[in-house]
Amino acid sequence: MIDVKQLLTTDKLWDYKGGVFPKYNKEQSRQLPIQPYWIPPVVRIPVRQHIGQSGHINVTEGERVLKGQLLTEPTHGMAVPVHAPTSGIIESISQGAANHPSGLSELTLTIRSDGNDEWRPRQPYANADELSNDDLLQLIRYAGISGMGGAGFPTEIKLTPVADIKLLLMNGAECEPYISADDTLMQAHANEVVQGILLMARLLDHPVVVIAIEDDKPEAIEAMTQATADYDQIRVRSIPAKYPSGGERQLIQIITGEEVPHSGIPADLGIVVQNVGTAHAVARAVYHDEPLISRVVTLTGQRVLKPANHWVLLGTPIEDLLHHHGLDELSQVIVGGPMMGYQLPKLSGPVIKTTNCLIVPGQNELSSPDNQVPCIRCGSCADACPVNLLPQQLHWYALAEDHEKLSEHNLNDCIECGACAYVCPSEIPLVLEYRQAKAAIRASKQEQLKSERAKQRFESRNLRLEQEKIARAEKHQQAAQARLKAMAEREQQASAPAATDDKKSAVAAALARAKAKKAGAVSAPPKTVVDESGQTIPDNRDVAAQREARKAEARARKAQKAAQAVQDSGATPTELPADSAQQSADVPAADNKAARVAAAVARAKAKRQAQQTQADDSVEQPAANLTEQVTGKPAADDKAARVAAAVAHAKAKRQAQQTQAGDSVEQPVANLTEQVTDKPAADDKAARVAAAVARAKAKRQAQQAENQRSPDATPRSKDQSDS
Amino acid sequence: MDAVFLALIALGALALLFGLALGYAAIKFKVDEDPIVDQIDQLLPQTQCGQCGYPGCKPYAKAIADGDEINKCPPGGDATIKRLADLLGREAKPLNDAHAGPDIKTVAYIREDECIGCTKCIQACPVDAIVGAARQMHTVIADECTGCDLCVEPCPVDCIDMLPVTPTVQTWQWQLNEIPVKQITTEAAVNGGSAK
Amino acid sequence: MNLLSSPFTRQSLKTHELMRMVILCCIPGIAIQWYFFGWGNLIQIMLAVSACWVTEAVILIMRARPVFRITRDSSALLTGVLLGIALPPFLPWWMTVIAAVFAIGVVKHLYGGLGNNLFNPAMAGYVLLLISFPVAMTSWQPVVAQAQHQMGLWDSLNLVFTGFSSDGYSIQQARMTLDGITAATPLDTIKTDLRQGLTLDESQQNPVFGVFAGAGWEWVNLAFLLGGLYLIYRRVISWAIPGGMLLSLFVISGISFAFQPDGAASPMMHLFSGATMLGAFFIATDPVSACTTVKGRWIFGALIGAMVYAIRTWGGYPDAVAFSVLLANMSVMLIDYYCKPRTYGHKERQ
Repeated sequence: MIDVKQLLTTDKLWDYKGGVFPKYNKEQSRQLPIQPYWIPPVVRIPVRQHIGQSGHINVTEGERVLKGQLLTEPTHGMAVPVHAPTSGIIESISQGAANHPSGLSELTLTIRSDGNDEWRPRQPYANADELSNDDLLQLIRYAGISGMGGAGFPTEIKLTPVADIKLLLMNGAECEPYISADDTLMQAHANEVVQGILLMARLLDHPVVVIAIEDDKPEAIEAMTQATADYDQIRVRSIPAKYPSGGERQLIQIITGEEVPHSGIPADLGIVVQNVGTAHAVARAVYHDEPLISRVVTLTGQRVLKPANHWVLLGTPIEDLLHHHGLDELSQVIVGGPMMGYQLPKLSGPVIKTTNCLIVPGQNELSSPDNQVPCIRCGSCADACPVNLLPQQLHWYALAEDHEKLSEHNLNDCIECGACAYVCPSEIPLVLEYRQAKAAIRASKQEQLKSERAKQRFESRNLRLEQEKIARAEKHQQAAQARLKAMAEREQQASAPAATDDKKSAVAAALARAKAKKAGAVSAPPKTVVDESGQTIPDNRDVAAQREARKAEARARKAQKAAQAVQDSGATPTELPADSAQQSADVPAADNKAARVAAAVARAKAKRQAQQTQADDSVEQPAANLTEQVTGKPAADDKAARVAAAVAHAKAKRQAQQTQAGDSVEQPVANLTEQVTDKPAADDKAARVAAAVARAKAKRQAQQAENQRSPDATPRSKDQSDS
Repeated sequence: MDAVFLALIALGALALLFGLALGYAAIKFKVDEDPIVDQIDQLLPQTQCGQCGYPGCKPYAKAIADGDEINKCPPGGDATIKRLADLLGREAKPLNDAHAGPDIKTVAYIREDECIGCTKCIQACPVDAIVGAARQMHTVIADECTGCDLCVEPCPVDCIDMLPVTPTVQTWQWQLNEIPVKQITTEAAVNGGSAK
Repeated sequence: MNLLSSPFTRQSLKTHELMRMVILCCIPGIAIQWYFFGWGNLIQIMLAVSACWVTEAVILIMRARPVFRITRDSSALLTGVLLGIALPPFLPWWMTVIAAVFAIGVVKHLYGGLGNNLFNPAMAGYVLLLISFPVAMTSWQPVVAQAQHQMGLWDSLNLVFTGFSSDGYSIQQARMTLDGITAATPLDTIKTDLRQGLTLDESQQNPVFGVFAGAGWEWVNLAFLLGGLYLIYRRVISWAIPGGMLLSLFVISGISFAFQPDGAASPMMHLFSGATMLGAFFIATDPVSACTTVKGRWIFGALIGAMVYAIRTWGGYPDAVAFSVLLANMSVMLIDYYCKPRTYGHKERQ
């Protein structure tokens, strides 16, 4: 473990393997003090500017917002809110160009500023001691502060102690060439930075604080040393300028000599690393009640007339910002430094919380792309790699998309610093290859998870279907048993003189049978239904009972046959009536049930007929009749109408499928539709259904007609034009 | 003669000995491996789409184990074929044309105001990724949808679309060369560059 | 315009510049070689370079690759130069051409071109000749000062292209020393002498030996050492491979010399004879076919050094650099696999 006390006195610094020494080019932008912010006519605020989820938008289009007003509410853990950087009207909430290398869009709030820059009421704390730690954390969270160095990790989460933190490492290294935002910030606002550091240290239970600054920023080191002179627990360390010393893990290695375990975080070592810019933002939030709505951005590059650092309102479109500074006809803009930054595909993207630098390079300032030659395995990249990878091997495996080997060679530990590609004599875009490989690995892992889940769902579904099938079979069996029992009883009765309830039981059995067949999945076991006793018993009651039973049997057989027909026509439709019956079981009305049963019967019949009929007009009538039957039911409500529509539809579909394309199809369906729409009870839902049906039908017909015209057209091809 | 006899005995004894040793080892050190069907099933993408001609991934895995071709799985594509070839020691073949489909990931989407609530798609979905009840509007759980398009055909009103999955900022895979870049007059850039 | 990926700035040293730097650093060695062994090697270098370049161009055209852009990387040029330096000065021209065509056509391009070859092309070409034409390949001239017949540029050209000098001398005659016997290389002489039971001292009475190693050869080796040191200084090559090779050769030969000072060649002899320095700094360091991890490079170099010693001492050939390099090339994958450096954060936890 680290001896933190020693860190306050020792002069020892560790070194890490590798690293490079690019031309720093920071002088250009260091000449001027930080420039004040400019209010653009329009600001675009992406709702998500950090690692994690976005908050919940709590403003509406057309609403007027004041400067500093909360635009999104952080509803869950990793969410960080965004604020209005200036007062104005919310013009739109829509997809807008992201400040992202992909050039894709993301959800963006567009505010047309009114130029007043009017603040919401503010309640700054003069003395932060008034605040409890929890309140302070909430304040930081609601101020929308996330790491300003690069990744944009929510600051509040990092400051919520999960382990015993012994060292707060303030990152002021700023090792990337060109960027001088932190440098000038430390020079100009050293006291505020220190205030922020003290607040952070308080939240972490007063660890030792080391502020690491590269030795090419003597003014910043001087300013910070002066500002921290009164604090024993804070020490400013000057570290040698080398890229990428500003990487979190590299900085820890330089200051403590320790390595963060590859699957761990710095907190595992008792260390928290924060950017100095973040500390400044924390101080502003507490002492000025100023949420994170602006930041220092280095504007540099050979085409920039006056390179300097500027306060920029978050959400300022980069294009507008550059125009404002006299840059027109932009071709290439790099966000971030030249080593790890990215070229912006869409210049309309805004400045966000992590945007620390904008480079507008001259023609030959930065390298050109197409001089790539094959890798000769010279190993320069391995020498330059700060995390001791073998980029030359990773290159081969990345080209071969060998994800296993890539993981074996610890691709995931790559920090994408670009040192390997910087030294590569063959000018291979190594970092891009690694990023792509990493993304591909991530995607394939996700795919794997998804397929695993799909498999589980598929299997549990099969299990469920299986169980339902078994349950159904059991019910059939029960019914059969009841029948057998009834028959046995009947035989008994036949032999012995008949009792009064002979007939009753026979009827009951028959009914039970019929019902079991008809309902299929309805769970109620056969019950005695009707009481017909009290009638005078004629002499031939035996025979009558037998006839009755025969009739019932015949009915049952018929029902069974119908069910069989349905089953034959495919597994899916069999389950349909049962399922729909079950699912709509919450509808209590009896007539509803009746309508449903009627519908099911109608459907079954329609199916059977459709199957038997060889496409002629005979289809038309029964189907229409059926529908009439269904729709004609006095109790049928619009639900019934929908069912009717479904029936009609099923029929139409089957007819269409079977019919060898003739006008005969058109008519019945049209009739059906008419009937459906004619229904007085039909409301607009029904009308919609009808419309959908009609549409589907038209589509199918068109398709069929097409198929006839060109027999070789594939049946799968769908008509894309939606009517 | 004696020598021949002796040799035969010696060889026979040795054969017996080694045979016993091998037999013992085969039982004692038996490797409990996944049945081959499960291993194949592991490699299949589990979309349960049935494009292979079997009702799901597992049945196809069984069929492969019984000797069916390994190139019938369009969602898995060439990567799956290659992995299957590696596992089974067979030759990787290009995707069978009869089973080839478009190579874009899709997800089902129900145009909800057209849905009549017939539940047909719910029954067709192999992974229960559609929720809804009879006569209630249905919707697709996009995260669970495997894009198998089995729900499209049963829909009586054709209200299900298979929409391509578009990359988001989070799922983007650094295809820099696929980004359409607005070409800005290079002269301007040249002038700007030389004006330094 | 394409979108670029970071980093947007690059170090200036490019692959073709590396190649040219290596070629330039060969020049002192080549000059000394010319001084001691005459024009032969310069002719061989020219021949090999042209043959390599033409082969490369033809194959690139056949592979439908941009000829101009790729040949600009000078890798074929370097292969030709190294091959020309290694070949005996008066080797018949067609042998040189065979070696060059084999090196570029088969060893380099059949494996996929620059960056993909498993073996060092120059050494593979050299070994092809060594196996096919062992006599011609071991026929080195005595140093110019000791030769019976002085061969000028014109004579050398005639010897290489026709087999006879303008005065009608054959290659065999060109190899005559002042004493009228056919010259052998110092390594050859030692090997033969020691096997015949002579002591080292007795063997070294032979005029083929110079101040601390073979006459002429010692200076050639020294020149290559200088060129190599400059390459290390410029970070064109890493010092691990030459370091490992020279160290292992020195240690092994030192031990054996210490035990039998009369029966084994001295470490100096080993280090400054034959192709030791050329091999250590210019051939074994060919990055494509060498190990690429730091630890691996030490092992790779040491392996070559050990094999050089073994083949020189016990093998059938007088020199061994080519064989050793090729054999080590074969083990590169294995060595690299076991020499992966420990990645940041992958410390064994206590």
